[in-house]
Amino acid sequence: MSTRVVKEERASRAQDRLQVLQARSHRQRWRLIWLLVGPGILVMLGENDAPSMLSYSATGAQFGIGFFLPFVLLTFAMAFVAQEITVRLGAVSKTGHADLIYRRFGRFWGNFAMSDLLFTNLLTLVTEFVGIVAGAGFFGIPKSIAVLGGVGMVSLALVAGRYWVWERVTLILALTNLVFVPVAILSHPLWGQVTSSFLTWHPFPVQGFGSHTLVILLADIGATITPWMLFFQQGAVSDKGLTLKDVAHGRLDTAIGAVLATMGAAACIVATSALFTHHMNASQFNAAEFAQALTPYVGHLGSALFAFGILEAGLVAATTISTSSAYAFGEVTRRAHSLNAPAKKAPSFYLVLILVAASAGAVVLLPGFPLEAVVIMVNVIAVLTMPPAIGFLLILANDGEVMGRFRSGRWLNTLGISVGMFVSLAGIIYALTVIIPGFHL
Amino acid sequence: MMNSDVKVSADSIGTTSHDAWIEQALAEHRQSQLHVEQLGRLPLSLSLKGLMWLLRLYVLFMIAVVAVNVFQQVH
Repeated sequence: MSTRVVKEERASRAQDRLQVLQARSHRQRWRLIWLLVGPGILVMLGENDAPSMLSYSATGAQFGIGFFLPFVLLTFAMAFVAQEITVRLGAVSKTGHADLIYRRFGRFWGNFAMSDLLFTNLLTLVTEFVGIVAGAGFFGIPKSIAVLGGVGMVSLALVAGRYWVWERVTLILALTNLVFVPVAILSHPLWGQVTSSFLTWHPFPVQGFGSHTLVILLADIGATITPWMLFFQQGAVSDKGLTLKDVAHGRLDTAIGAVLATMGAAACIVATSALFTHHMNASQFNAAEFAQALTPYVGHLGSALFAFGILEAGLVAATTISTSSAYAFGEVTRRAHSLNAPAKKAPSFYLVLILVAASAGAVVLLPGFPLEAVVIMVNVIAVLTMPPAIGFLLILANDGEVMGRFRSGRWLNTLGISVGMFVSLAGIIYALTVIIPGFHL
Repeated sequence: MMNSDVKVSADSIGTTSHDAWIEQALAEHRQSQLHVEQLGRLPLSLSLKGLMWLLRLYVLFMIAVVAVNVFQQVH
């Protein structure tokens, strides 16, 4: 990395730090929160991406209000446990997740971690563009224009010039994920039933826990916990320049993100449960078909908001996932990798950022490619690649040389190991239902 | 572990030169970077290496399971 790039990067970060220091010294509590939130909200709302919203739509349409509402709350609580570790890792080490893995585990294990990340990132990015195309299609926007718009949104990083500007623009777009809340209200659900399901986890799926239910269950876990989230948030925390004093705010940021994302996910399930109530077979629906099918129950405004929500979910996730790929690439190749660095000074970072998005967009434009069929399976694959990622995360969180007094204690380790075991066990049960026909829980 | 007690005040930054206040604002970052640069490989116990191999095989097995599941659904 050239000295000049480092200087420009440092000057931008120092400006941000100055504002934080001023807010802290003048005890401006709300301003401090405003300055320090970002990576956590972005990662959680970013994970409410197009395939995730489609998974929640399939959940609501096929199982209605019941077991899956509190289950989604549980999965976001697990996501919080994993992401909180990346806040500490980023604030303590001031470097990215890929960099730490390569330094502490060596190239052999680092390459495995990177292959998991790149494989799931590329697959997920393709499904983000499926969502973008489907959402835009509802408004009559042609495929090619939608893909160009998506790549254009990702390319905004080029003109943002600073991490702070990029983060705020993406954050505003990410908050529109909450459009699913008014759609849920417009579907006039029985709120008593919604409350009761959160308290009792009932009713259970009428189909039982066979292969089909477990695919949806895994897809919902994959809709909240995926490898790219770890790489993105640690990279963003380090790019934002959070320090040891900011860890509490980083946790708050992640918690706010988890709450907002749970609201978006639960609202999507509630909205699409209208299809379950009216016995509509939605097992083969794509995003646009969900929006159209909902029209009789939520009106034209509701279905337009639903389609917009899918479009937005794809745009935000395409941005954050491309960024996580670019961070990881820069960390591994030791090239400039910061949104605080201008494009001229960090060409490979921005090139990877745009290239991965453009490649995924191009796949969507291939004629006759059966994309809709694989959208839910992408979430399943994402969750199945998660156990090794949690393994690296927990080992790093207990690495005294890196973490010092910020290493995980007994409680945090218990929670972290529980998340890892839960995700692994869910995968094993899924495998049993596939390998042994008729296997049922 | 790096020294986490880097003391920086907003007021002192306002009175120093451009380069100096950047250095002051990012003192903790510089220390962390130096510390990370010095990090070596983590010594992995045999059981930890075994666990990491197990998780790697888990992923490979699961990818095969997904392929079987997709094949079952298509046919």
